[in-house]
Amino acid sequence: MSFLLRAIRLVPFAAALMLGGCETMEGYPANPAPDTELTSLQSQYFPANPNCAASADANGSLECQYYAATGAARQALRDKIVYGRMHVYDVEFSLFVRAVSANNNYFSVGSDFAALAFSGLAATTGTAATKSALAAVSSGVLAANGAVNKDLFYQKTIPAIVAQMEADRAKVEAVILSGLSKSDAQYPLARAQLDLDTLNDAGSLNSAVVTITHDAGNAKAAAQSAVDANRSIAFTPDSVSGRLTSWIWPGSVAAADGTPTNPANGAPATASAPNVAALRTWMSQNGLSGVPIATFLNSPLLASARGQAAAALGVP
Amino acid sequence: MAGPCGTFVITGVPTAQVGAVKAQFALDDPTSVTVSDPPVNGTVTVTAVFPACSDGSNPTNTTPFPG
Repeated sequence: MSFLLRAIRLVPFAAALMLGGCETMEGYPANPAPDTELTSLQSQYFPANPNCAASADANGSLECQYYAATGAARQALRDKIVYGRMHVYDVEFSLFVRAVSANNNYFSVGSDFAALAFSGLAATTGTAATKSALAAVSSGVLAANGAVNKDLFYQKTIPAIVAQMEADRAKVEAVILSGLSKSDAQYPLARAQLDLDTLNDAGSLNSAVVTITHDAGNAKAAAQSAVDANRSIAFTPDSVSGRLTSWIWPGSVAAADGTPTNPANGAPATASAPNVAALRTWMSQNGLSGVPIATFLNSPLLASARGQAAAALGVP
Repeated sequence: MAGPCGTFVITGVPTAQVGAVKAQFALDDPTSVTVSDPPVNGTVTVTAVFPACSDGSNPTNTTPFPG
């Protein structure tokens, strides 16, 4: 068998890796509820323009039945409608998240596999001409994938956005479930529908990004507040300040004016670059990147933070 | 948030600690570090000026904490 023929026979396998198995590329188990179930639920809980005056709709539409009922029966219908609509929104949200995850993963992972397959064939198979041709295909796949991976922001932030959507939906669901514990008079279907609309919106990318941006804005404001509070401070070092100073300038001794110096020659000591970088990283991670190290070491407002930093960085 | 910007002041620095505070400020590459002179009750004020903030402001707060 020629090397080229062997290679051609393996190409469908590579293509299957790239194009097939899309379901598994979502990163979620298969959904046991088929799409037909969703369609059925939608027609049951979201009937198109029910006409409650018409006898057919009055008998068939849950919403019409709700408005015709009274007392406990009306509340039971309210609960059934709201739970049903929540279930529809849950299924829709699940499908949405799967679609987002699939778009994020499948081409990237699939094309990586395909490129590896093609390049593997090129490395192990056939004549120079065959190797060259397969390597070119491999390069093309990788180049295409490289173009997709330029959207690294999308790839890395989708999990965070999905987590935010889930958190937002959980908050609204709690409101709805709390409402359902009340009587129909206190929490009628029309009021519940407003919360259901909010639940639907909470599962959107836009809503999640707005929440994340808002939270980031709050964090930035808190960090700025910490900086402003420490712009002018009274010199108030503590024992941790001394430990941190010795850690930043290891092996140094203080001159008459406190300058860290090299004991061997009396010259100003050189700060440990790794230790300074580690301290800056910790400060940045804790909202203190806008505070000078001198202020951090001597501020009475930052004594607790100094202790945390010293512990986190293993300062002796 | 980027590094320090604007002006930072440390008051009541003992003259025996001025060199240490100046060395600590130097770690953040300030535009300038000045020391008040003469000392008052054996202490000075060390002022470090950093580049203006990204929004163009040059914030400072001359009221020390604790006041």
